[in-house]
Amino acid sequence: MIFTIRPTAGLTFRVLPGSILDITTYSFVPPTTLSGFLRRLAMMHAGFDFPNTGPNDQDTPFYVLPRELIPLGAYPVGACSRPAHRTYRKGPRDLGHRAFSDMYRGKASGRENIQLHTWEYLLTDELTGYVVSENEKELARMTGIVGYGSKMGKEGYAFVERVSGPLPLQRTELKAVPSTLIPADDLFEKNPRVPADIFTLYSFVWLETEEDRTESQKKQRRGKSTSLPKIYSTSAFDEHPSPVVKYKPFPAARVDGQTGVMLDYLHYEEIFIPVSLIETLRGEIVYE
Amino acid sequence: MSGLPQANGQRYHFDIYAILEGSQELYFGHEVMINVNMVETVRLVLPNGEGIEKCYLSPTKRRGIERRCLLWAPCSNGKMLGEKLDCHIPKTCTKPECPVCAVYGGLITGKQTLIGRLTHGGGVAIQPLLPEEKQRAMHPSAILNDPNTNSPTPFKRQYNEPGLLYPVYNHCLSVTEDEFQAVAYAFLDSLARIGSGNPKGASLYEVDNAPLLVVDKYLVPHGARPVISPGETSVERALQIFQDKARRVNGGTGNGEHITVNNGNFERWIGWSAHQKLQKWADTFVNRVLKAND
Ligand SMILES: [Zn+2]
Repeated sequence: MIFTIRPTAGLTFRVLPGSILDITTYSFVPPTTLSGFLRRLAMMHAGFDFPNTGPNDQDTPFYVLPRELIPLGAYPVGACSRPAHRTYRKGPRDLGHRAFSDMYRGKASGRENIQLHTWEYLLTDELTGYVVSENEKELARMTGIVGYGSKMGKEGYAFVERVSGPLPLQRTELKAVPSTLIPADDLFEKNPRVPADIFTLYSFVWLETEEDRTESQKKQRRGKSTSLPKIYSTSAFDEHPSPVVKYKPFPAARVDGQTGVMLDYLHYEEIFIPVSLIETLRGEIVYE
Repeated sequence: MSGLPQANGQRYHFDIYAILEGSQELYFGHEVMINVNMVETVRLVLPNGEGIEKCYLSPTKRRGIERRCLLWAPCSNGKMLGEKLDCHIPKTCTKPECPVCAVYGGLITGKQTLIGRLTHGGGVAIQPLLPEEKQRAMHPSAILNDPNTNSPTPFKRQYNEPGLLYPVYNHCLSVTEDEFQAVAYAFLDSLARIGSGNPKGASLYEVDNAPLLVVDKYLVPHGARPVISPGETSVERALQIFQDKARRVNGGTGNGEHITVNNGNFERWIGWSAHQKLQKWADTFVNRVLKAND
Protein backbone atom coordinates (compact mmCIF):
# COMPACT_ATOMS: atom_id res chain seq x y z
CA MET A 1 0.00 0.00 0.00
CA ILE A 2 1.23 3.49 -0.86
CA PHE A 3 0.83 6.47 1.46
CA THR A 4 1.15 9.96 0.02
CA ILE A 5 2.31 12.01 2.97
CA ARG A 6 2.56 15.77 2.98
CA PRO A 7 4.84 17.37 5.54
CA THR A 8 3.81 20.83 6.70
CA ALA A 9 7.14 21.56 8.36
CA GLY A 10 10.81 20.75 8.28
CA LEU A 11 11.25 17.24 9.67
CA THR A 12 14.02 15.77 11.79
CA PHE A 13 14.56 12.02 11.81
CA ARG A 14 17.42 11.87 14.18
CA VAL A 15 20.37 9.76 13.14
CA LEU A 16 21.32 7.62 16.11
CA PRO A 17 23.77 7.03 17.54
CA GLY A 18 24.77 10.66 17.07
CA SER A 19 26.07 13.72 18.78
CA ILE A 20 24.00 15.55 21.38
CA LEU A 21 25.09 18.92 20.07
CA ASP A 22 24.86 18.17 16.39
CA ILE A 23 21.52 16.67 15.50
CA THR A 24 21.53 15.19 12.01
CA THR A 25 18.59 13.81 10.08
CA TYR A 26 18.04 10.96 7.67
CA SER A 27 17.00 12.20 4.22
CA PHE A 28 13.89 9.98 4.31
CA VAL A 29 11.46 8.67 6.91
CA PRO A 30 12.97 5.59 8.57
CA PRO A 31 10.71 2.50 8.58
CA THR A 32 10.33 2.51 12.36
CA THR A 33 9.35 6.20 12.37
CA LEU A 34 6.79 5.62 9.63
CA SER A 35 5.34 2.80 11.70
CA GLY A 36 4.91 5.02 14.78
CA PHE A 37 3.43 7.84 12.71
CA LEU A 38 0.82 5.66 10.96
CA ARG A 39 -0.09 3.96 14.23
CA ARG A 40 -0.80 7.32 15.88
CA LEU A 41 -3.04 8.32 13.00
CA ALA A 42 -4.92 5.03 13.31
CA MET A 43 -5.37 5.63 17.04
CA MET A 44 -6.68 9.14 16.39
CA HIS A 45 -9.04 7.70 13.78
CA ALA A 46 -10.31 5.23 16.37
CA GLY A 47 -11.08 8.13 18.70
CA PHE A 48 -8.23 7.75 21.19
CA ASP A 49 -6.18 10.72 22.35
CA PHE A 50 -2.78 11.19 20.84
CA PRO A 51 -0.46 9.05 22.99
CA ASN A 52 1.68 11.34 25.05
CA THR A 53 4.87 9.38 24.66
CA GLY A 54 7.75 11.43 25.87
CA PRO A 55 11.48 11.21 25.72
CA ASN A 56 12.78 7.83 24.75
CA ASP A 57 13.64 6.52 28.14
CA GLN A 58 13.44 2.90 29.16
CA ASP A 59 9.81 2.94 30.19
CA THR A 60 8.46 4.66 27.13
CA PRO A 61 5.91 2.37 25.54
CA PHE A 62 6.07 1.73 21.81
CA TYR A 63 3.05 2.57 19.68
CA VAL A 64 3.67 1.09 16.24
CA LEU A 65 1.85 -0.86 13.54
CA PRO A 66 1.10 -4.53 14.28
CA ARG A 67 3.78 -7.00 13.29
CA GLU A 68 1.99 -8.18 10.17
CA LEU A 69 2.04 -4.67 8.65
CA ILE A 70 5.62 -4.01 7.62
CA PRO A 71 6.54 -0.36 7.05
CA LEU A 72 9.35 0.24 4.54
CA GLY A 73 9.96 3.96 5.09
CA ALA A 74 8.82 7.04 3.17
CA TYR A 75 10.85 8.88 0.57
CA PRO A 76 10.88 12.51 -0.66
CA VAL A 77 9.10 13.50 -3.85
CA GLY A 78 9.30 16.88 -5.56
CA ALA A 79 11.43 19.73 -4.26
CA CYS A 80 13.65 18.67 -1.42
CA SER A 81 16.45 20.04 0.73
CA ARG A 82 19.61 18.22 -0.35
CA PRO A 83 21.69 18.32 1.78
CA ALA A 84 19.40 18.77 4.76
CA HIS A 85 18.70 22.30 5.96
CA ARG A 86 21.12 22.99 8.80
CA THR A 87 20.40 25.54 11.48
CA TYR A 88 22.74 26.84 14.10
CA ARG A 89 21.20 27.33 17.47
CA LYS A 90 22.53 28.88 20.57
CA GLY A 91 21.30 26.66 23.32
CA PRO A 92 21.54 27.34 27.00
CA ARG A 93 24.03 25.23 28.90
CA ASP A 94 21.85 25.56 31.92
CA LEU A 95 18.08 25.58 31.94
CA GLY A 96 17.77 26.82 35.51
CA HIS A 97 17.48 30.50 34.72
CA ARG A 98 15.07 32.88 33.07
CA ALA A 99 17.31 35.20 31.11
CA PHE A 100 15.85 34.37 27.72
CA SER A 101 12.37 35.52 28.58
CA ASP A 102 13.33 38.58 30.60
CA MET A 103 11.95 41.59 28.87
CA TYR A 104 14.76 43.88 29.88
CA ARG A 105 18.21 42.55 29.57
CA GLY A 106 20.77 44.26 31.66
CA LYS A 107 24.34 43.16 31.84
CA ALA A 108 24.61 39.44 31.31
CA SER A 109 24.69 37.67 34.61
CA GLY A 110 26.59 34.86 33.02
CA ARG A 111 23.98 32.26 33.78
CA GLU A 112 22.68 32.25 30.27
CA ASN A 113 26.06 31.17 28.91
CA ILE A 114 25.34 29.40 25.75
CA GLN A 115 26.65 26.64 23.59
CA LEU A 116 26.33 26.39 19.89
CA HIS A 117 24.68 23.41 18.38
CA THR A 118 23.37 22.44 14.98
CA TRP A 119 20.09 20.89 14.03
CA GLU A 120 19.17 19.51 10.61
CA TYR A 121 15.81 19.43 8.89
CA LEU A 122 14.49 17.64 5.86
CA LEU A 123 12.23 19.93 3.84
CA THR A 124 10.27 18.34 1.06
CA ASP A 125 7.02 18.77 -0.88
CA GLU A 126 5.82 15.23 -0.40
CA LEU A 127 6.80 11.78 0.83
CA THR A 128 5.86 8.40 -0.59
CA GLY A 129 5.55 5.75 2.10
CA TYR A 130 5.22 1.99 1.64
CA VAL A 131 3.69 -0.64 3.90
CA VAL A 132 3.53 -4.31 2.86
CA SER A 133 1.59 -7.17 4.36
CA GLU A 134 0.30 -10.64 3.64
CA ASN A 135 -2.90 -9.60 5.39
CA GLU A 136 -4.77 -7.65 2.74
CA LYS A 137 -7.72 -6.92 5.01
CA GLU A 138 -5.65 -5.29 7.76
CA LEU A 139 -3.75 -3.30 5.17
CA ALA A 140 -6.97 -2.11 3.54
CA ARG A 141 -8.21 -0.81 6.91
CA MET A 142 -5.38 1.72 6.86
CA THR A 143 -7.29 3.63 4.15
CA GLY A 144 -9.24 5.11 7.09
CA ILE A 145 -6.35 7.35 8.14
CA VAL A 146 -6.53 9.61 5.07
CA GLY A 147 -6.68 13.24 6.18
CA TYR A 148 -5.24 12.67 9.64
CA GLY A 149 -1.99 14.33 10.64
CA SER A 150 0.36 14.28 13.58
CA LYS A 151 3.80 15.11 14.76
CA MET A 152 6.36 13.11 12.86
CA GLY A 153 9.89 12.30 13.93
CA LYS A 154 11.77 14.42 16.41
CA GLU A 155 10.32 17.69 15.12
CA GLY A 156 7.75 18.45 12.48
CA TYR A 157 4.25 17.54 11.35
CA ALA A 158 2.81 15.67 8.39
CA PHE A 159 -0.53 14.32 7.24
CA VAL A 160 -1.67 11.55 4.93
CA GLU A 161 -3.13 13.12 1.83
CA ARG A 162 -3.86 9.99 -0.17
CA VAL A 163 -3.66 6.22 0.05
CA SER A 164 -3.50 3.79 -2.87
CA GLY A 165 -3.91 0.10 -2.68
CA PRO A 166 -3.54 -2.52 -1.42
CA LEU A 167 -1.66 -3.32 -4.60
CA PRO A 168 -0.68 -6.90 -5.51
CA LEU A 169 3.08 -7.37 -5.69
CA GLN A 170 4.85 -9.80 -7.98
CA ARG A 171 8.17 -11.39 -7.31
CA THR A 172 10.85 -10.89 -9.92
CA GLU A 173 14.62 -10.77 -10.16
CA LEU A 174 15.94 -8.06 -12.44
CA LYS A 175 17.80 -4.78 -12.70
CA ALA A 176 15.60 -1.91 -11.56
CA VAL A 177 15.63 1.32 -9.57
CA PRO A 178 14.58 0.34 -6.05
CA SER A 179 11.78 2.44 -4.50
CA THR A 180 13.13 2.03 -1.00
CA LEU A 181 16.23 1.36 1.03
CA ILE A 182 18.11 -1.87 0.49
CA PRO A 183 19.88 -3.92 3.16
CA ALA A 184 23.51 -3.12 2.39
CA ASP A 185 24.68 -6.75 2.47
CA ASP A 186 22.16 -7.77 -0.16
CA LEU A 187 22.94 -4.78 -2.39
CA PHE A 188 26.71 -5.24 -2.44
CA GLU A 189 26.61 -8.99 -2.75
CA LYS A 190 24.74 -8.70 -6.04
CA ASN A 191 26.07 -5.28 -7.14
CA PRO A 192 29.60 -4.99 -5.73
CA ARG A 193 30.54 -1.68 -7.29
CA VAL A 194 27.37 0.37 -7.20
CA PRO A 195 27.69 3.80 -5.53
CA ALA A 196 25.33 4.13 -2.57
CA ASP A 197 24.82 6.00 0.68
CA ILE A 198 25.02 3.80 3.75
CA PHE A 199 23.06 4.31 6.96
CA THR A 200 22.46 2.45 10.16
CA LEU A 201 18.75 1.75 10.42
CA TYR A 202 16.63 -0.23 12.79
CA SER A 203 14.06 -3.00 12.81
CA PHE A 204 11.84 -3.97 15.72
CA VAL A 205 12.46 -6.83 18.10
CA TRP A 206 9.05 -8.21 19.09
CA LEU A 207 7.93 -10.01 22.15
CA GLU A 208 6.23 -13.29 21.32
CA THR A 209 2.47 -12.98 21.64
CA GLU A 210 -0.19 -15.50 22.60
CA GLU A 211 -0.78 -16.30 18.92
CA ASP A 212 2.86 -17.27 18.48
CA ARG A 213 2.60 -20.03 21.07
CA THR A 214 1.52 -23.58 20.52
CA GLU A 215 -1.26 -24.98 22.71
CA SER A 216 1.20 -26.90 24.87
CA GLN A 217 3.35 -23.81 25.36
CA LYS A 218 0.27 -21.87 26.44
CA LYS A 219 -0.69 -24.55 28.93
CA GLN A 220 2.80 -24.71 30.33
CA ARG A 221 2.90 -20.95 30.74
CA ARG A 222 -0.46 -20.78 32.43
CA GLY A 223 0.86 -23.14 35.04
CA LYS A 224 3.96 -21.05 35.69
CA SER A 225 2.82 -17.50 35.26
CA THR A 226 1.80 -15.69 38.38
CA SER A 227 1.37 -12.16 37.12
CA LEU A 228 -1.39 -11.03 34.83
CA PRO A 229 -0.34 -10.87 31.21
CA LYS A 230 0.16 -7.33 29.96
CA ILE A 231 -2.29 -6.27 27.27
CA TYR A 232 -0.53 -5.58 24.01
CA SER A 233 -1.78 -4.06 20.80
CA THR A 234 -3.04 -6.45 18.16
CA SER A 235 -4.35 -3.86 15.72
CA ALA A 236 -3.28 -0.42 14.52
CA PHE A 237 -6.64 0.87 15.72
CA ASP A 238 -6.55 -0.21 19.37
CA GLU A 239 -5.18 1.76 22.31
CA HIS A 240 -2.60 -0.65 23.66
CA PRO A 241 1.18 -0.36 23.47
CA SER A 242 2.93 -2.61 20.97
CA PRO A 243 4.80 -5.78 22.00
CA VAL A 244 8.12 -4.26 20.96
CA VAL A 245 11.14 -4.92 23.15
CA LYS A 246 13.82 -2.90 21.38
CA TYR A 247 15.36 -1.86 18.10
CA LYS A 248 17.91 -3.91 16.22
CA PRO A 249 20.37 -2.09 13.93
CA PHE A 250 21.15 -3.10 10.34
CA PRO A 251 23.23 -1.44 7.61
CA ALA A 252 21.03 -0.06 4.85
CA ALA A 253 21.87 1.51 1.53
CA ARG A 254 20.20 3.96 -0.82
CA VAL A 255 21.11 4.31 -4.45
CA ASP A 256 20.25 7.48 -6.34
CA GLY A 257 16.96 7.64 -8.18
CA GLN A 258 18.42 6.68 -11.55
CA THR A 259 20.68 3.75 -10.84
CA GLY A 260 19.18 0.35 -11.55
CA VAL A 261 20.48 -2.49 -9.42
CA MET A 262 20.09 -6.25 -9.70
CA LEU A 263 17.97 -7.58 -6.85
CA ASP A 264 15.18 -9.93 -5.94
CA TYR A 265 12.15 -7.62 -5.96
CA LEU A 266 8.47 -7.51 -5.25
CA HIS A 267 7.02 -5.13 -7.79
CA TYR A 268 3.90 -3.43 -9.04
CA GLU A 269 4.30 -1.25 -12.12
CA GLU A 270 7.09 1.22 -11.28
CA ILE A 271 7.39 0.17 -7.64
CA PHE A 272 10.31 -2.10 -6.85
CA ILE A 273 10.76 -3.31 -3.29
CA PRO A 274 13.77 -5.45 -2.37
CA VAL A 275 12.59 -8.73 -0.82
CA SER A 276 15.53 -8.63 1.57
CA LEU A 277 14.27 -5.33 3.02
CA ILE A 278 10.91 -6.86 3.86
CA GLU A 279 12.63 -9.85 5.46
CA THR A 280 14.87 -7.57 7.55
CA LEU A 281 12.04 -5.29 8.65
CA ARG A 282 9.82 -8.18 9.69
CA GLY A 283 12.04 -8.07 12.73
CA GLU A 284 12.90 -10.69 15.26
CA ILE A 285 10.77 -12.34 17.88
CA VAL A 286 12.11 -12.96 21.36
CA TYR A 287 10.63 -15.30 23.92
CA GLU A 288 10.34 -14.40 27.53
CA MET B 1 -3.50 5.70 28.60
CA SER B 2 -2.50 8.85 26.75
CA GLY B 3 -0.60 10.16 29.75
CA LEU B 4 -2.64 13.34 29.60
CA PRO B 5 -4.33 14.72 32.67
CA GLN B 6 -8.07 14.28 32.79
CA ALA B 7 -9.35 16.99 30.49
CA ASN B 8 -11.65 19.75 31.51
CA GLY B 9 -13.97 19.23 28.56
CA GLN B 10 -13.73 17.47 25.23
CA ARG B 11 -10.36 17.45 23.47
CA TYR B 12 -10.13 18.38 19.80
CA HIS B 13 -7.44 18.81 17.19
CA PHE B 14 -6.96 22.37 15.96
CA ASP B 15 -5.06 23.73 12.96
CA ILE B 16 -4.31 27.28 11.83
CA TYR B 17 -3.25 27.85 8.22
CA ALA B 18 -2.23 31.32 7.13
CA ILE B 19 -0.23 33.18 4.56
CA LEU B 20 1.78 35.98 6.11
CA GLU B 21 3.25 38.93 4.32
CA GLY B 22 6.43 40.54 5.49
CA SER B 23 4.91 43.98 5.17
CA GLN B 24 8.22 45.70 5.70
CA GLU B 25 11.81 44.72 5.79
CA LEU B 26 12.11 41.83 8.16
CA TYR B 27 15.12 40.90 10.12
CA PHE B 28 15.09 37.43 11.58
CA GLY B 29 17.66 36.05 13.89
CA HIS B 30 19.86 37.65 16.48
CA GLU B 31 17.62 36.16 19.11
CA VAL B 32 19.45 34.28 21.73
CA MET B 33 18.56 30.57 21.43
CA ILE B 34 17.75 31.17 17.85
CA ASN B 35 19.84 31.02 14.75
CA VAL B 36 23.12 32.71 14.37
CA ASN B 37 22.45 33.14 10.69
CA MET B 38 21.13 36.60 10.32
CA VAL B 39 18.81 35.78 7.50
CA GLU B 40 17.91 32.15 7.41
CA THR B 41 17.43 30.74 3.95
CA VAL B 42 16.70 27.25 2.74
CA ARG B 43 18.09 25.68 -0.38
CA LEU B 44 15.93 23.24 -2.27
CA VAL B 45 16.64 21.01 -5.22
CA LEU B 46 13.74 20.86 -7.68
CA PRO B 47 12.88 17.60 -9.46
CA ASN B 48 14.56 18.91 -12.63
CA GLY B 49 17.81 19.24 -10.69
CA GLU B 50 17.70 23.03 -10.48
CA GLY B 51 18.59 24.54 -7.12
CA ILE B 52 16.64 27.40 -5.55
CA GLU B 53 17.09 29.44 -2.40
CA LYS B 54 14.30 30.97 -0.33
CA CYS B 55 13.94 33.08 2.78
CA TYR B 56 12.69 31.13 5.80
CA LEU B 57 10.62 32.22 8.76
CA SER B 58 11.44 29.11 10.72
CA PRO B 59 8.80 27.37 12.87
CA THR B 60 11.32 27.35 15.73
CA LYS B 61 11.46 31.14 15.70
CA ARG B 62 7.69 31.54 15.55
CA ARG B 63 7.37 29.15 18.44
CA GLY B 64 9.80 31.22 20.51
CA ILE B 65 8.05 34.48 19.65
CA GLU B 66 4.64 33.05 20.54
CA ARG B 67 5.89 31.69 23.83
CA ARG B 68 7.33 35.08 24.74
CA CYS B 69 4.06 36.77 23.81
CA LEU B 70 2.34 34.61 26.41
CA LEU B 71 5.01 35.03 29.08
CA TRP B 72 5.01 38.80 28.57
CA ALA B 73 1.23 39.10 28.50
CA PRO B 74 0.09 41.74 30.99
CA CYS B 75 -2.02 40.49 33.91
CA SER B 76 -4.50 42.40 36.03
CA ASN B 77 -2.13 42.47 39.03
CA GLY B 78 0.44 44.44 37.07
CA LYS B 79 2.67 41.46 36.55
CA MET B 80 3.48 39.66 33.36
CA LEU B 81 1.98 36.20 32.95
CA GLY B 82 5.42 34.56 33.13
CA GLU B 83 6.13 36.22 36.49
CA LYS B 84 2.72 35.34 37.81
CA LEU B 85 3.16 31.68 36.84
CA ASP B 86 6.90 31.61 37.61
CA CYS B 87 7.35 30.27 34.09
CA HIS B 88 10.31 31.52 32.06
CA ILE B 89 12.67 30.68 29.21
CA PRO B 90 14.47 28.36 29.50
CA LYS B 91 13.30 27.72 33.07
CA THR B 92 9.78 26.57 32.33
CA CYS B 93 7.46 25.69 35.17
CA THR B 94 6.45 22.44 33.38
CA LYS B 95 3.15 22.25 35.24
CA PRO B 96 0.33 20.58 33.33
CA GLU B 97 -2.05 23.31 34.53
CA CYS B 98 0.19 26.11 33.20
CA PRO B 99 -1.62 27.56 30.15
CA VAL B 100 1.74 28.03 28.41
CA CYS B 101 3.48 24.72 29.20
CA ALA B 102 0.30 22.69 28.62
CA VAL B 103 0.47 23.43 24.91
CA TYR B 104 4.03 24.66 24.27
CA GLY B 105 5.61 21.96 26.43
CA GLY B 106 8.10 22.24 29.24
CA LEU B 107 11.31 20.67 30.43
CA ILE B 108 13.07 20.55 33.76
CA THR B 109 16.29 18.70 32.95
CA GLY B 110 16.49 15.27 34.48
CA LYS B 111 13.22 15.68 36.34
CA GLN B 112 10.17 16.34 34.31
CA THR B 113 9.09 16.73 30.73
CA LEU B 114 5.79 17.97 29.47
CA ILE B 115 5.38 17.14 25.80
CA GLY B 116 4.20 20.09 23.75
CA ARG B 117 0.93 19.52 21.95
CA LEU B 118 1.50 22.27 19.43
CA THR B 119 3.66 21.94 16.33
CA HIS B 120 4.62 24.92 14.18
CA GLY B 121 5.12 24.48 10.48
CA GLY B 122 5.60 26.21 7.15
CA GLY B 123 7.73 29.32 6.87
CA VAL B 124 9.41 28.72 3.50
CA ALA B 125 8.73 31.88 1.48
CA ILE B 126 6.84 31.38 -1.75
CA GLN B 127 9.02 33.66 -3.87
CA PRO B 128 12.55 32.37 -4.40
CA LEU B 129 15.59 34.60 -4.24
CA LEU B 130 16.52 35.11 -7.84
CA PRO B 131 20.29 35.02 -8.36
CA GLU B 132 20.45 38.65 -9.46
CA GLU B 133 18.20 39.70 -6.61
CA LYS B 134 19.99 37.93 -3.81
CA GLN B 135 21.85 41.04 -2.82
CA ARG B 136 18.69 43.10 -2.76
CA ALA B 137 16.74 40.58 -0.79
CA MET B 138 19.42 40.20 1.81
CA HIS B 139 21.08 43.54 1.56
CA PRO B 140 23.70 44.46 4.07
CA SER B 141 22.88 47.85 5.45
CA ALA B 142 25.68 50.22 6.25
CA ILE B 143 24.06 52.27 8.99
CA LEU B 144 24.73 49.96 11.86
CA ASN B 145 28.36 49.27 11.18
CA ASP B 146 30.75 49.68 13.99
CA PRO B 147 32.30 53.11 13.42
CA ASN B 148 35.61 51.89 14.83
CA THR B 149 36.18 49.48 12.03
CA ASN B 150 36.59 50.30 8.42
CA SER B 151 35.35 47.03 7.10
CA PRO B 152 31.60 46.64 6.95
CA THR B 153 30.04 43.69 8.75
CA PRO B 154 27.47 42.61 6.21
CA PHE B 155 26.79 39.27 7.85
CA LYS B 156 25.05 41.01 10.71
CA ARG B 157 22.79 43.30 8.74
CA GLN B 158 20.49 41.43 6.48
CA TYR B 159 16.84 41.88 5.82
CA ASN B 160 14.22 39.84 4.13
CA GLU B 161 12.71 41.90 1.38
CA PRO B 162 9.20 43.23 2.06
CA GLY B 163 6.44 41.58 0.10
CA LEU B 164 7.68 38.04 0.60
CA LEU B 165 4.82 35.67 1.43
CA TYR B 166 5.23 32.97 4.06
CA PRO B 167 2.69 30.15 4.45
CA VAL B 168 2.64 29.19 8.14
CA TYR B 169 0.77 26.52 10.10
CA ASN B 170 0.06 25.79 13.77
CA HIS B 171 -1.13 22.26 14.58
CA CYS B 172 -2.56 21.29 17.96
CA LEU B 173 -3.19 17.65 18.88
CA SER B 174 -5.75 16.62 21.49
CA VAL B 175 -6.25 19.89 23.35
CA THR B 176 -9.33 21.39 24.95
CA GLU B 177 -10.86 24.59 23.69
CA ASP B 178 -9.58 26.33 26.84
CA GLU B 179 -6.04 25.21 26.09
CA PHE B 180 -6.32 26.32 22.48
CA GLN B 181 -7.29 29.86 23.53
CA ALA B 182 -3.64 30.44 24.54
CA VAL B 183 -2.55 29.45 21.04
CA ALA B 184 -5.09 31.80 19.43
CA TYR B 185 -3.88 34.66 21.64
CA ALA B 186 -0.21 33.93 20.93
CA PHE B 187 -0.71 33.51 17.18
CA LEU B 188 -2.46 36.88 16.81
CA ASP B 189 -0.24 38.72 19.27
CA SER B 190 2.96 37.39 17.70
CA LEU B 191 2.26 38.74 14.23
CA ALA B 192 3.39 42.24 15.13
CA ARG B 193 6.50 40.85 16.84
CA ILE B 194 7.85 38.62 14.10
CA GLY B 195 11.44 39.46 13.39
CA SER B 196 13.84 41.07 15.76
CA GLY B 197 15.24 44.55 15.67
CA ASN B 198 13.24 47.26 13.98
CA PRO B 199 11.11 47.37 12.02
CA LYS B 200 9.31 44.14 12.73
CA GLY B 201 6.00 42.54 12.09
CA ALA B 202 4.17 40.51 9.52
CA SER B 203 0.53 40.65 8.62
CA LEU B 204 -2.06 38.26 7.35
CA TYR B 205 -1.95 38.53 3.58
CA GLU B 206 -5.23 39.68 2.09
CA VAL B 207 -6.77 38.87 -1.27
CA ASP B 208 -10.02 40.65 -2.19
CA ASN B 209 -10.03 42.23 1.27
CA ALA B 210 -10.06 38.89 3.08
CA PRO B 211 -7.10 37.36 4.92
CA LEU B 212 -5.73 34.05 3.73
CA LEU B 213 -6.53 32.32 6.99
CA VAL B 214 -8.17 29.00 7.81
CA VAL B 215 -8.91 27.57 11.26
CA ASP B 216 -10.02 23.95 11.76
CA LYS B 217 -11.39 22.37 14.92
CA TYR B 218 -12.10 18.67 14.59
CA LEU B 219 -12.18 15.13 15.77
CA VAL B 220 -12.36 13.76 12.24
CA PRO B 221 -10.62 15.58 9.37
CA HIS B 222 -12.95 16.42 6.50
CA GLY B 223 -11.28 19.22 4.59
CA ALA B 224 -8.35 19.51 2.23
CA ARG B 225 -5.50 21.17 4.12
CA PRO B 226 -4.46 24.49 2.59
CA VAL B 227 -0.71 23.94 2.58
CA ILE B 228 1.77 25.19 0.02
CA SER B 229 4.70 23.01 -1.07
CA PRO B 230 8.09 24.49 -0.19
CA GLY B 231 9.03 24.00 -3.85
CA GLU B 232 6.18 26.22 -5.11
CA THR B 233 7.56 29.48 -6.53
CA SER B 234 4.54 31.10 -8.20
CA VAL B 235 2.55 33.45 -5.96
CA GLU B 236 -0.47 33.24 -8.22
CA ARG B 237 -0.50 29.44 -8.15
CA ALA B 238 0.13 29.27 -4.41
CA LEU B 239 -2.78 31.60 -3.61
CA GLN B 240 -5.04 29.61 -5.91
CA ILE B 241 -4.07 26.35 -4.21
CA PHE B 242 -4.62 27.85 -0.77
CA GLN B 243 -8.07 29.17 -1.65
CA ASP B 244 -9.18 26.03 -3.49
CA LYS B 245 -8.15 23.74 -0.66
CA ALA B 246 -9.69 26.03 1.95
CA ARG B 247 -13.07 25.62 0.26
CA ARG B 248 -12.76 21.87 -0.30
CA VAL B 249 -14.67 20.29 2.60
CA ASN B 250 -16.37 16.93 2.18
CA GLY B 251 -20.03 16.88 3.11
CA GLY B 252 -20.10 20.20 4.93
CA THR B 253 -22.89 22.68 5.40
CA GLY B 254 -22.48 26.37 6.06
CA ASN B 255 -22.20 29.83 4.58
CA GLY B 256 -18.86 29.44 2.85
CA GLU B 257 -16.90 31.12 5.67
CA HIS B 258 -17.96 28.71 8.39
CA ILE B 259 -18.47 25.08 7.48
CA THR B 260 -19.64 22.34 9.84
CA VAL B 261 -19.60 18.59 9.18
CA ASN B 262 -21.43 15.92 11.21
CA ASN B 263 -22.55 18.04 14.15
CA GLY B 264 -19.17 19.58 14.72
CA ASN B 265 -16.93 16.56 14.21
CA PHE B 266 -15.25 19.00 11.86
CA GLU B 267 -15.56 22.77 11.79
CA ARG B 268 -13.72 25.16 9.47
CA TRP B 269 -13.60 28.94 9.53
CA ILE B 270 -12.22 30.84 6.52
CA GLY B 271 -11.01 34.43 6.05
CA TRP B 272 -12.51 37.10 8.33
CA SER B 273 -14.69 34.54 10.02
CA ALA B 274 -11.52 32.62 10.97
CA HIS B 275 -9.97 35.84 12.20
CA GLN B 276 -13.04 36.63 14.31
CA LYS B 277 -13.03 33.15 15.78
CA LEU B 278 -9.36 33.44 16.77
CA GLN B 279 -10.01 36.86 18.27
CA LYS B 280 -12.90 35.54 20.27
CA TRP B 281 -10.75 32.74 21.69
CA ALA B 282 -7.97 35.27 22.41
CA ASP B 283 -10.45 37.53 24.24
CA THR B 284 -11.65 34.63 26.32
CA PHE B 285 -8.03 33.88 27.21
CA VAL B 286 -7.55 37.49 28.31
CA ASN B 287 -10.66 37.44 30.47
CA ARG B 288 -10.22 33.96 31.87
CA VAL B 289 -6.44 33.90 32.47
CA LEU B 290 -4.90 37.36 32.27
CA LYS B 291 -7.67 39.18 34.15
CA ALA B 292 -8.16 36.42 36.72
CA ASN B 293 -7.97 37.75 40.27
CA ASP B 294 -5.54 35.55 42.10
ZN1 LIG C 1 4.70 27.02 32.48
